[in-house]
Amino acid sequence: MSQSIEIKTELENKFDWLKDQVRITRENRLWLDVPADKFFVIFDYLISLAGFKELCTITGTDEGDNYGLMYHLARTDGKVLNLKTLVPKEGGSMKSIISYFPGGTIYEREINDLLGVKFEGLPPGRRYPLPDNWPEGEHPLRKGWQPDKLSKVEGIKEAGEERLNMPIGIRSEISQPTDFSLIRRRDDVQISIGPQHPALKEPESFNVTLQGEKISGIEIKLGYNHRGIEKACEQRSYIQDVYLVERICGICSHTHSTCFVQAVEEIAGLQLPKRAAYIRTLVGELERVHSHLLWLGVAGHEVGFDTLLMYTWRDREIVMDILAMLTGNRVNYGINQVGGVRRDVTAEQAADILKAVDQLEEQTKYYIEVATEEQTLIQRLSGVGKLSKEDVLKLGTVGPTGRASGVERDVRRTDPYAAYGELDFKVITSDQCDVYGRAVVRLLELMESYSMIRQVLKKLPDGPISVRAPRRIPAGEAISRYEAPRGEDVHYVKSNGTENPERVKVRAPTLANLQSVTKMLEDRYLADLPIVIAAIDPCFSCTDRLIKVEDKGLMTWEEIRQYGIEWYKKQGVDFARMTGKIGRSKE
Amino acid sequence: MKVIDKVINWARLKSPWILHFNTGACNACDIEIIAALTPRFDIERFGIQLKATPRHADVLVCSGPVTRQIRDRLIRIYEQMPQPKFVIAVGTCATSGGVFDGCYNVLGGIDQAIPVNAYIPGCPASPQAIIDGVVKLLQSLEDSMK
Repeated sequence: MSQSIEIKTELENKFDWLKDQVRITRENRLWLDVPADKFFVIFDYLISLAGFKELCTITGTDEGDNYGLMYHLARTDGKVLNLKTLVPKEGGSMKSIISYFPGGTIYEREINDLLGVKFEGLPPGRRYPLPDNWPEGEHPLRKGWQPDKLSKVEGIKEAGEERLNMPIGIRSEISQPTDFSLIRRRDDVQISIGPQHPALKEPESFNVTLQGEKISGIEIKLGYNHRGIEKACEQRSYIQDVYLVERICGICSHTHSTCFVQAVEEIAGLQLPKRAAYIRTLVGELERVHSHLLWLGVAGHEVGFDTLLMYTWRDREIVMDILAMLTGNRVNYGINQVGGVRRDVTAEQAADILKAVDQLEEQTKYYIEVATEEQTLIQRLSGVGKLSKEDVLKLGTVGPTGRASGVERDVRRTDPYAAYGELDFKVITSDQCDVYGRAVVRLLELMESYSMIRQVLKKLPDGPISVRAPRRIPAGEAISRYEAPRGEDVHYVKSNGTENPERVKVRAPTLANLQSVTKMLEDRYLADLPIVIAAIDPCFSCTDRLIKVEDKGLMTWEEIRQYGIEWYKKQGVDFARMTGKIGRSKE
Repeated sequence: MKVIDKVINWARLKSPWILHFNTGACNACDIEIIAALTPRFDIERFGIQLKATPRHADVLVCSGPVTRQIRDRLIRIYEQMPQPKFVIAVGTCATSGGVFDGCYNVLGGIDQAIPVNAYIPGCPASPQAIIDGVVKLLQSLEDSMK
């Protein structure tokens, strides 16, 4: 608390007009509202001098005549400052933060699409997360918006349809001269991967531009999984929302429900019983075990090591059995409720879990042996998908991907929630900076998870597993962070005193990590693409957005032909004259 | 029925190749489908293999509600499959839209876009349920051929 007060006094000393403006709701949480004209003075100060170098996300809200924009800035010691400003609906706009956070444009684009706030300096690009042909001027997150104009059954034609009709999506630089013997410069080929592709388990689309076998550009199109959960949360009660946010993602379902419930509990001022906190931690760590084993199998599959997939998925069933025993379901556990957990852990169950953990630990040791001694695996993964520490800090990469580049960033340590403050664990890092490092980090994290599960079961305190929660949550707002198996997950919840939340905002870890994928793939071989994408452990159902890296535009065949003729003309070869000659000689 | 047709039908029933496609699911059903293919449940003992392209597949296994962005692609993939083709909708969302029914970007179950032969409910459908559904589909095909 004292450090938060320090930040507050520092801000007040620096800017007198901020006197009594900074609110501290609890340790590590500061809130500040500033007028739009003074926003960048404070923003600049916080980033450059106060150490708030991470941007968790930006939340956009609809507040009557204004749009609210809240920038959630975080510090490495776990402090989060929520800087808010208002932009008038009529003719108002906001300056883009692209110069501070190159990755922040994604959040701006999302607000632009869902709320209709204009950002100055936002580079042009395709819309997201909404579909390509979504009607203009329809912004679903605006209050009172009705999906009247959208027909119920009609789908939406994908943009870039013409590209798919080309034999092998060839574009821009490729010339299409009439004489085939002259085609020598095939230096820019574009191939389309997804949304249905054997290397991808979820629908997402990558348009890869190649120079030879090397990747020179990559365009990621998401939004195939966009279901509109943030809007749906506003239309349902808190009790329903717990189960809805759980279904944001089926792999890290406990992550999202815990993150949401923590925020609601903070607003309602509920004191979570100790036993409930421990049970949440237990399920969270079991989920991490299942997710990391799943990842290991998928990674093995992507490099052609299918035996590893079969082995890890066989062992993963042990965790699935434990989760089913504890919660009643293999996936989407539904163990959380506002104010605690739904089910208790019995002594017999605890004994079963310990037995299973022993078994898993044995197996994991074997996988670690495979990963550290099997030359084929080491050579396939080493040096692939390099991401330097500087890039991690710049792009805001989270989770094991960031930790494998030597950045010790883990919400469980910096901003402890549930029972993590009382557990003893190491934050695993590696200096490998490549896919191999990411594999090793995840494997060693498994061992830490086993140790944490044992500690939780040993220390499990007695007492109730839940407190009574009101149906109506008092007005307020909170931001909650959770270390998902993939990285930091952020939920922002705003309540207005009714049974339904006013606004729920979710920032999934994959969104933060996706921006680094393009960096990792720069000048790499096409064959590395599946494993590099798999190495961030992407979860697109959580993410649902679109990123545009480079844009050269599409050309029709006729345009390409014309371009080719012009290009050769510049090189001194005139096809028009040549064809003319051939034509005459035939006559 | 000619002998050759009988042989073809026998082969079809004994080795249905599947294509898995996520049409906007939360991943839960997808990992359960993969789990059904791995050693514990081993759906391959029915001759079922996961294929990479729709042109090799007999059965399209879909999970998730159909989102606006994916509907076109789903139809295209269905059209690329050779005849005879079958569709299985895995999970409550694929059956009816589930919890996402009424969301602005969701059209509903798989049957809003393409015809469906078998529905496997559950959130997520467990691997046992998926195996049961596939076997029931094969059984119904066998019966219809008699």
